[in-house]
Amino acid sequence: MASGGSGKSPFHVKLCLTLLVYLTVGERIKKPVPLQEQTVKDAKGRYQRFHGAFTGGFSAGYFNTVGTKEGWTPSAFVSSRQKRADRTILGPEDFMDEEDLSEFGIAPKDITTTDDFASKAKDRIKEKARLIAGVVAPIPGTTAFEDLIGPSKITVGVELLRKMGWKEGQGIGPRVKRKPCRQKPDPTVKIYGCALPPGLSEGSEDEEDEYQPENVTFAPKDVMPVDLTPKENVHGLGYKGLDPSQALFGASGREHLNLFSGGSEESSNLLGDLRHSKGRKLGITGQAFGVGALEEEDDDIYATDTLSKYDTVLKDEEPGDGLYGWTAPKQYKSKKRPEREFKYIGKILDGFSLASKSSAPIKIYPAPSLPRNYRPVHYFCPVLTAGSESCHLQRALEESTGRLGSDPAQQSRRALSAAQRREQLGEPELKGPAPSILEYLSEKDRERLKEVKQASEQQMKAKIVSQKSPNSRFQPASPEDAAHKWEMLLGGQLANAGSSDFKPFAKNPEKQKRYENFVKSLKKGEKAQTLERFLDPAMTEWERGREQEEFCRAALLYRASSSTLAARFTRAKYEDDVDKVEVPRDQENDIDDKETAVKMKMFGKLTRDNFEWHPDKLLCKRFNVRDPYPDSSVVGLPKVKRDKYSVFNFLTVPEPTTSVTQATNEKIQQSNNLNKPKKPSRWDVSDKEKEKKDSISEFISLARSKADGQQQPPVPPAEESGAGPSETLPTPVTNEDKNQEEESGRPPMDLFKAIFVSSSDEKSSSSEEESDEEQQPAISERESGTTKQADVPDSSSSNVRESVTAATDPGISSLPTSKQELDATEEFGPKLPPAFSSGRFCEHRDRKEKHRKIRERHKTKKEHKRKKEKKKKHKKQKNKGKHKNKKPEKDSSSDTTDSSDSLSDTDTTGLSPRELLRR
Amino acid sequence: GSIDSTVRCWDCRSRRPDPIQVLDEAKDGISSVKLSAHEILTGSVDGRVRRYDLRTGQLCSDYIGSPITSVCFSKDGQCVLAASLDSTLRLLDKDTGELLGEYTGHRSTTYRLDCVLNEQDTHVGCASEDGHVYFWDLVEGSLALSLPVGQGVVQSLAFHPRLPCLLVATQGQVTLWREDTFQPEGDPD
Repeated sequence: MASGGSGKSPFHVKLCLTLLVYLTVGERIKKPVPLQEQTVKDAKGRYQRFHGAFTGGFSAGYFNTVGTKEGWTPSAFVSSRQKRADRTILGPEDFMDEEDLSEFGIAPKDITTTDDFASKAKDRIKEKARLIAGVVAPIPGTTAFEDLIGPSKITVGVELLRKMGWKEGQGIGPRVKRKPCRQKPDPTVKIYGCALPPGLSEGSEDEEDEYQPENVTFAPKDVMPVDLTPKENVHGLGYKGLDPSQALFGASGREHLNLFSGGSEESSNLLGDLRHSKGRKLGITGQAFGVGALEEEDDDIYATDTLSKYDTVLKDEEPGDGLYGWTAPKQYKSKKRPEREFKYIGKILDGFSLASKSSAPIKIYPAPSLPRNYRPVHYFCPVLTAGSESCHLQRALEESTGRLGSDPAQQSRRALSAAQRREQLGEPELKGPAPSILEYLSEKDRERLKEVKQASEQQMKAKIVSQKSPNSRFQPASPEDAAHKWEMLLGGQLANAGSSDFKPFAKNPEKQKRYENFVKSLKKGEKAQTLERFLDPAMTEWERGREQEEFCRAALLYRASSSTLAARFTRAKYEDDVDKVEVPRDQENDIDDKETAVKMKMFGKLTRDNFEWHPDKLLCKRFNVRDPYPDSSVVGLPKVKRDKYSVFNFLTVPEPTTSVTQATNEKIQQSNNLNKPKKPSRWDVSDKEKEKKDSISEFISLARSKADGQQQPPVPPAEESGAGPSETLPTPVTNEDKNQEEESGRPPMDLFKAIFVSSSDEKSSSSEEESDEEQQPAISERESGTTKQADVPDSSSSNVRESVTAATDPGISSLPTSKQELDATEEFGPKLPPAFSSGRFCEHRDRKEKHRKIRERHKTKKEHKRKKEKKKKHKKQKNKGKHKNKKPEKDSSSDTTDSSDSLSDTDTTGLSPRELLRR
Repeated sequence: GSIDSTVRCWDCRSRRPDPIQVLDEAKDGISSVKLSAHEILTGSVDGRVRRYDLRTGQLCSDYIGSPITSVCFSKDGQCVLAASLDSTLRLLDKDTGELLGEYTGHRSTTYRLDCVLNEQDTHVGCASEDGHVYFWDLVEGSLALSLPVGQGVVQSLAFHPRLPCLLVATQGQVTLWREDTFQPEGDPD
């Protein structure tokens, strides 16, 4: 526009500019997008492409291009030689976008109701329309074409019928014998017309009947509903035009439920030959159309019409009701009777069976005839009031009502105890293993019980005397008595009985309520008389007495059983009906053990539970920590599905530390006690704890000694200087220990570490202090161990060292035995060379010390603490050192080998936790 | 840490209202939560000190017995101090769970009281229900100082991470204790 205006006068240009400005302003407000530039975008913001008329055509690729948003990405060549066989054939769906598969796409995948299951209301309308169209259409057969196009529909009902053995063209109902049904032409009926020659009547049904065996039944003939459509056309009577089912020989045509098949039977017969031709092309054939040019067979176009097709006799066409669908009430009445008797002979659906017995008719019992003198008025018996004074009254009442006459026998029978019954029958007393409870009671209790019994008996007697009734003996104890007795028995026991969650009479809520009240008041210590008010006043005294007794018994039972049982059961953790439960894989084990451990102040291994725990990935990120389990998707404690009642739920791995026998513990304890009467420190633990600690450490060291077996060559007797006092421990015991150790397996590695590392730390720190020892690392290491174990004073340590060096020679001499030991520990490492030189021995030690040193460099964190501790330790060592004077003498004589060495090790390592405590 | 026996970890950056992880191993309410560089230390009323190690992916649960009121790490990160309702402070080795020290003398039976370690890990401090703050020598375990701060329960206690400086809250007043101005509060050096 501007360019157009540029050639004109400046005024024009100006105008144009302003126009442009306006235009731009207008643009900003609204700019109508030309139709051809309007775009449609889909849900993802992509341009919707219009392929074809609606959505037709495949939209491939990205914006009708190849590849993706990033463009076409070449795929690496992969030889398909190997998998040529299983190459899948790509269908059109593989090239479709997802919107094509959506509801409104070209290949919807959503589930929709098929026509079979669509409501029929719509169909009916269609049907009507179709009918109307058929009627209105100039060619009445036109509606038939709709049928051709329409998909095949088999309703559920038809399918069911088919499964039951129904076939198209048959009637519905039980199969019938044809013969009796068939009505022979009545001889009285006159036959008009000429008689047929016998040869001509080829399809004569009469003839067929003759061949029928007796037991063959036939399906009833299909009932043809009466066509009520008025005849409005000018075709001949019965002319049907083209029958679609006959015209179309494809499967779809045959599958149509043709209600009019009966009617079209003739035409189908006429076309019978054509139907047989298989593999025939789809086409419309028929009388009206003749034979098409494409049809190969043109024979028998003009089917011969036989006379047999026509009715020659005017009669009821059908046997049976002959109603043709009419439902006249009169006819049905007559039909009902045979219906009751018929038996269904047709095919029965799978899973169903015909009832062998017809359902029995409901018996009607006549109402009982009332006695003649019955009066429909109810009399209420006078209510018996509670209390002993009413006893006589009650008795009188009972007598008056005549109850007493019959009741006592029953009552007594029920109320009698086994002993009473035995007494009456004169049977001997049972002698069996049923000792009285009294035997278990102490003298005092027995006496007390006796007193109580006597008292109650006296009361009873008094009552009996007062009542002076011959029956009274068989009567149950009167409520007061019983209550009193029970009260005595229960005494204060009930007072502390638990809350009434025990419901012995849960079935009878009223009774339960009464019982609860009863127990409550009994707890309060109320008298029997007052207790009675909780009983049902409507009951007779006897009943009440019984109930009271029952209550008392229940209360006693509750006391006895509930407390004992309750202690044995715990609430269900998991639902009963779930087979598998999610169990945390590691559960914090029993608190009881820990409780005892805490009481003994044995923190550490016993009180600690280590679990695998999976932190959240994000949490790791925020903590700036690498995810320890990068592969796992578990968060928190890993859980496992377990059988609820699996044995493994109840198995806990026994800790190796606890498996040490008490005997060894004691022995070690003894030796320890001999070794070092310590100065009591603040952190000193109880003896018991010590014992356990030692056992643990002993254990570990045993294992360790084995592990070290190959590393540490046979120990020179000088080593015994350290473990001298521990000599008191006999060697067989140590062997025993070893056996045990082997049995229970090695303790976990972290336990090793915990004690081993810390002890090495201690050693290293002490070795730092003793600078002179650092020059001889091998010995110093040993020394530090021995010093700690035996608390050798610094001054004496040098002496010991000397003895150590001096004793290396005997060490060699002791080789044979050590070798044996090595053989025993073979499984833990390679065999050592048979001969050792002392120098080599030292080398070994050197190496070991180096290891330790490296480790100690890593562990410098705690050093500032330890330095303090060291001073203390030395003090202690000095104190304890006195006991070690005898050591040097002993070691020379001792010829124990590895085992004792291991013991010495145990002591050093075993001490470490305690030393830690001493800090 | 919450009374519903869970520890919930939220992500402060994402501002999501739901926690990224819930540590629901405790059987009772969580009384104390402390964090180190890679650990979450929780003390629970069920008498356990749980240490979630993110680096190794382990949960260490130490059974103390009586309800834990407060936990804290030592400055060197090697030890764990746990105060419990049986009027005892326990110093546990972090790695093994062994008892390194036990400190008694104060009174802590009902309230949730704090325990602290001083800036050099030489002393252990704990509030008490008798209005004092007690300090023990970490190594010796002997009572080094009992600091009378008020009549009532000393509710809260915090030690400066680097300076010998103690903040005490009791009965509506917060007091700050410095060694140079007042007593040498548990710092003998």
